[in-house]
Amino acid sequence: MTRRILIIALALLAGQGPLRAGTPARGEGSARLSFGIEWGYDGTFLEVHHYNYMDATDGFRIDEKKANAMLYTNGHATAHLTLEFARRWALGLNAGYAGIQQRTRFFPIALRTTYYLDSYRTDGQFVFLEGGAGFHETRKSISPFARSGYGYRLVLSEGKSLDLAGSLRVAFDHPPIYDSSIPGYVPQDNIRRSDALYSALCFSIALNF
Amino acid sequence: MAGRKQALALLVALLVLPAPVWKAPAQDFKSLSLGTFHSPKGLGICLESQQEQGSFDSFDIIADIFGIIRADYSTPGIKATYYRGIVLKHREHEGFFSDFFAGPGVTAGYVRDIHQPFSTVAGLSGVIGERFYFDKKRIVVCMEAGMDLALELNRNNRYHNINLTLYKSGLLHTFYPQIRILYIIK
Repeated sequence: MTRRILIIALALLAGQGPLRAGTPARGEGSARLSFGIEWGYDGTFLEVHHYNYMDATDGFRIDEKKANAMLYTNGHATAHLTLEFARRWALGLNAGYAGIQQRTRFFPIALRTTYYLDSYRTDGQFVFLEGGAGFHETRKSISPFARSGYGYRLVLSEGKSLDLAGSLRVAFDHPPIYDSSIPGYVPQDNIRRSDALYSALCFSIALNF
Repeated sequence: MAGRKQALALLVALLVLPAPVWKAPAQDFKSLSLGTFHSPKGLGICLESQQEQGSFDSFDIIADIFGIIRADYSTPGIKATYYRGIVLKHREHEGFFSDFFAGPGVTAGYVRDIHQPFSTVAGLSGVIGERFYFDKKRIVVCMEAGMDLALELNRNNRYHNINLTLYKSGLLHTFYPQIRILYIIK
């Protein structure tokens, strides 16, 4: 009889549509480990570089410092393992695949710390800071990068959530230098300096389990 | 007529999948959902309508991003798909429930393919996946895989002829994951 009443009560509750958000979640405050996937759009909007190399044709040293505004579409897809603790904090390890500039893609591995303004167990805003290194796909080079952003967490059910986030990413690189007078890439022996910084706005979606 | 169509769709799904177990969802089944489609194949918007218990209709408009991730191309193609999803297994979990589904459909678009320029594509499609409904939210998360068995028609400017070939990406990219995130409007 009690079971029947319970089933009817649950059915009535289900009929009312979405349940109220912000109700105290079970296990509030206790640490937990979560796994998730994240993917998104990255719009590289600024490239700042400093190149210094010997011109192959006349032997002069060329020193070039330039900032280029652009909009180049990239994307990223990562998986993460995150420890959520002390009600509002999370520390996670992310790894995946990302593009930072035209024909420049790497496999990033990064540590991310997240602060939830309310709690990671309830709907609400969060801010995060991430730092790591990317292993380039086509050359033996490692690019350090950092990312910081703001997002909103939608808790779908206990332990399952959907995160929407916007962030700014800066990535450093030592790219090969293209010289249109050769035409082609400047030989590595002729390069004294090749530093580049790419800034991108990232919009991402993450599913956490 | 509609019943016959559904029976045919179910028959196709039964042939594709081994021994499905049917169990009807225990919720109010009529719904209309609007959402987004995410995949290495493309990005798009989708509309889903569920009018009958145990099946739903899905319409997608997708920007096909073949070759764009690898920066080989910069302009996407466009593709429209429709499929009828048939729920084959319903599972109840704590805080959410899931529906395992499969369904046949049709696809058409103007997209790029492996070693092919932009082509007009049309054919059949099939989708299989799992949908997750959550008690606390009007959100549906759907993880699926889809196959397009289609033909592509393009004009060869060099030889001034028209080619009709198999849409290779539709088959080769079958196991690229597809995720839909839908909001139940009503």
